[in-house]
Amino acid sequence: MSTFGGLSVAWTGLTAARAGLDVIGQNIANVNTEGYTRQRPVTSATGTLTSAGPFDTAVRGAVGVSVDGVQRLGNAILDGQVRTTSATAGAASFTKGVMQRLETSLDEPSKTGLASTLADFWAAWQNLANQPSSPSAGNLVIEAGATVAARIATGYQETASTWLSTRAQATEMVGEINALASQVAGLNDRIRVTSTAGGSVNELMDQRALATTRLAELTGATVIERPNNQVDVLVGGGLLVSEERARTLAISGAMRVEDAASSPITISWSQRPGEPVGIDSGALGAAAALLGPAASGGSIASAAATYDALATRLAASVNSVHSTGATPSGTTGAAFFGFDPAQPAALGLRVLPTSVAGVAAGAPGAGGADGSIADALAGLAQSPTGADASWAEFVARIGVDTRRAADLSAAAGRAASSAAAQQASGAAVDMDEETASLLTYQYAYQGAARMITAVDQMLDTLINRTGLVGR
Amino acid sequence: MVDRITGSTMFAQAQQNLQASRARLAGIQEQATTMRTINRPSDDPAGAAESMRVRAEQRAITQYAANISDGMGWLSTADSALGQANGVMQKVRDLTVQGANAAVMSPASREALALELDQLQASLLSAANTRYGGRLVFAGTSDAAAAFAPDFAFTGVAGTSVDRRVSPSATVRVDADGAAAFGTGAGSAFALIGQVAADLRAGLDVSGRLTAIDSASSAILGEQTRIGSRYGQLERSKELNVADAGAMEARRASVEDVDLAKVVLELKTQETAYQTALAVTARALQPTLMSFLS
Repeated sequence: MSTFGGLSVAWTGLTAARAGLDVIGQNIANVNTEGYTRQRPVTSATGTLTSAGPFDTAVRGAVGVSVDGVQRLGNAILDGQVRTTSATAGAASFTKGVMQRLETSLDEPSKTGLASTLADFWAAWQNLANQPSSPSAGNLVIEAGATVAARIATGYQETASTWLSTRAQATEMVGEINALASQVAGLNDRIRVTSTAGGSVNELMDQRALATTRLAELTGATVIERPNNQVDVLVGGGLLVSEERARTLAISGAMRVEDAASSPITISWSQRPGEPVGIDSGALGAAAALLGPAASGGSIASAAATYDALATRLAASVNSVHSTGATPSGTTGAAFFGFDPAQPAALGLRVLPTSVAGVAAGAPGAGGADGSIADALAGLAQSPTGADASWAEFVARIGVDTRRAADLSAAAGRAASSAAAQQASGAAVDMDEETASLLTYQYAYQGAARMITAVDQMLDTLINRTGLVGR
Repeated sequence: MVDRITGSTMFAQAQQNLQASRARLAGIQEQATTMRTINRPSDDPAGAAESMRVRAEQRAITQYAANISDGMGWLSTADSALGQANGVMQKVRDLTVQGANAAVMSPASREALALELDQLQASLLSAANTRYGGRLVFAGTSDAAAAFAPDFAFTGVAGTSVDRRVSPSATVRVDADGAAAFGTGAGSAFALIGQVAADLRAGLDVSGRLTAIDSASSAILGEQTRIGSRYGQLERSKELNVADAGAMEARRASVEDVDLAKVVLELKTQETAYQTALAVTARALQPTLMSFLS
């Protein structure tokens, strides 16, 4: 080792301490940055120089410290767990949101919901049975019937608008997925170029991990680590991102709930329209399932179909009794409810009579003031297969489904936040720890500086004081 | 479970716990402000269905109460009309007995009796055409102008009745059978009075009509008895209806309404829990090592 070897060792110490302080600075600066993974300088003690030759007799010793790089303290397995749990949580929370919206549109139990409206309708028939051929009682029945029809139509419209907004959200999600995929592909490219050039890619990897986590939340995507810090993203068994190439998804199919069965919502690769990509997880997977036709369990379309069935059933049961009665002028076979054929049953339900003259309250031949048919119609309220019973069953079913969706969402949310906590426990910046490290590096720097002073004094002694004995 | 605790994990955890505490607080607050345990079907799906059923039944019970009071109106109208008719028949009988002593009466007094009988016939007819709420109480489901036409023909439809539904399974007949009470056409009480008057004018003996008058009276009385028993039936139905209404309201309250004491206690507990969580979080998140280094 040369005379000045000590200075060079101390200098590597100064450099390492400064590098350490720089990294601490970066950590502290990014303490609140989303997705930032803490970093540590990786240093190693530099070994002794190899022998210069057979006649080299110099004393061997350490020659300092080398800064090998800056390590990103992430954990691929924990990152994978965060992605898996957030895919489930994304799906569950999306389903919960839609189900709660459907549930709110039921407006039950309340004084204004369909159940109360129906009860008023049956009571109006009973009232007409008390005073058949009374114009006011007749109008009351007609008004109550129109209110029931309007309430069914409102429920249907709210369901249809829930479907539409879910459809719009699905389209937005596909757009976001495509943007994220191209972002991940771009980051893959930059990471490859930067790491080839020897630059630091830690921050780029943080950004990419954020993007892939969001992709997993939306689609249940899985990430495959490749050599050279590259990742591939798989969606529904197909490659969404392969190194620096990204593919795009497209959504096609019905634009309104009525067409959900005839033209189902399909998510496919843009290059291969019509071929569905099996996305069964993540928010987009949940949206696709919710938007599906009633026959394959699409909750929204099934709710719309229930409103249609309810309108049809109500009309059929009321008409079958009403048509056996006679109007004040003696006409029999008159229907009370009719449908607009151009519209779905729930929207097209109409009350046909416009005044008491069209309402058949009494049995034919039983006298002009007979109310037995009106009484029989009021009795439909108790029918176990009537509109009231099927509405109550529907409300209970939506209630159960919503509750299950909320429970699932809560459980998936807990799993996701636990995975995120695990990940953060390794990756998050801790101020106490950084402060301690700051002190450590500060002392290391002071120590190295003191070392330089010591060598300096030693050399001063050697150069300026040597050979001055006796002066 | 978590090995390394950092400021941000603590903060995230604290935030999550506060959020959960707040969500519970909001849930209790909703119950306390609406005073209902079921605010949406998912709060209790079975309870929601039950609550809807109970509400529908309550609405029906309200309507049955209206039916019952309407029925009572019909029956009391019919009852007073029959009472009036009964009085008329009594007078007819008295006059007939008076007219039976025809031999000693002058034609003028016979004519006076006959005139009075004509009056009584008219008032009996008017009693038989009594209306309640625009409807003829003795003509059943008929919407004719009168229960008994001027020729005493009954306009009611045979075999029909006016019924009021008092419960899902029971109805009570609220009209009086005019044909049974007064008879129809030539065999009616009106025609009988006419015949007595005609006999008196013709100077015939009317004592033979007394049997017919008695049987007409007893027909009216018989109908009045039936009306009375149906009125009793309605009164019992009314009591049942009121009891049902009370039971249903209790049922609705037990399904839907909150137990106030329980909710207020829970609200208070939850509030305390939330405030404690806030205080603890504020204290725990404050210090870092930085604060203690100079």
